[in-house]
Amino acid sequence: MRYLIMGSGEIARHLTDSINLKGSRAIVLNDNIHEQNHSSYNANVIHAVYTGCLMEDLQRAKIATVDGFLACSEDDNRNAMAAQIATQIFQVPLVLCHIGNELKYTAYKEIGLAVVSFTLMVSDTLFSNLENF
Amino acid sequence: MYIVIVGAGQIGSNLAKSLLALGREVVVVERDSQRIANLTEEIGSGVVEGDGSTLEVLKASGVSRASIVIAATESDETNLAVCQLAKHVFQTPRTLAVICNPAHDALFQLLGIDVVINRTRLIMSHIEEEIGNSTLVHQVSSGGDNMDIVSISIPSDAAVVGSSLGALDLPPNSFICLVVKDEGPVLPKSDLSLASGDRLIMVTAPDEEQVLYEIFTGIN
Repeated sequence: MRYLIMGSGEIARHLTDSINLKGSRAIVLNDNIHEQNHSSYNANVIHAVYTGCLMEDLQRAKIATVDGFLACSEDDNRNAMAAQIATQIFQVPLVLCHIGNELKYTAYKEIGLAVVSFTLMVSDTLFSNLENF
Repeated sequence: MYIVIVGAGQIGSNLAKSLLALGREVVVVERDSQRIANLTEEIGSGVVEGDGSTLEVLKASGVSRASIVIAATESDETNLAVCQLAKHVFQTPRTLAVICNPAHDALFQLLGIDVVINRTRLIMSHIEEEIGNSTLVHQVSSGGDNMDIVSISIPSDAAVVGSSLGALDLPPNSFICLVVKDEGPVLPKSDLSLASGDRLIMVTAPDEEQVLYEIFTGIN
């Protein structure tokens, strides 16, 4: 399996490691060169740099060939547009998109995007733990 | 008519001034404080500060009663979010996006943005016209049906000079709408003969443009 991950930071790093552990390949599209140079990614990971044109960057990162696409950059708008390029233009079978803003998360969910919100996940987990006290 | 413009760059601010001059009710949303100060000095109070791609700021701009939302920031990603949120959350009747990168055109059309203005393509059309020696010039991109309106000028050495329209073997999705001759525009008829300098206004699919170019400019 091949996955394209758009984003930098801890979540993208952990996702990449998890994908590698399962024997799949990851392509990481990242706008943070510093992050890339100091990453612990292994040789099973291909890096591509985000330059500003989402469509062209995703094509360079071979989005047409992947089985799954995960948009988890810090920019909600970029994630939403990239996820829609993946589904509408390239028909990627599995697409997941991180939207941090709660209201936008709900709106995009209603529009039909497969969205996750790390912020909501963490706050829900914290809340359910608090309830157990 | 109430219009919300997101983005107070060169395009957004000039558009706001033009629409106000026409008597429209306009609000501009911008997050850069310097731009806000500049525009407020010119148009007064119709500027809302904030990120226009968030629901909170869109709501504050009164988007729920807007007839048109225009997304004119420098970011295609932001412009898409503005239009989608306005349409789906606030049921804005018409959304218009100005996009920078031609590669994003198809996506905006697919996602139902009502009007997509591709500024790179617009500039290219003007440059093609100004340069003057371009044979095929893009006039309009007609939207989600993937058809363009182009004009083609017939060079003096083209093989089609003297041919009748009925004798041409055009690609399946290309149609001649008008032939502009020296004496004026003429409706296309099969016995109409082409002359050097004639300009054809055509509707075509983007992937047929090269074939058209070859038909009307090719030499024997």
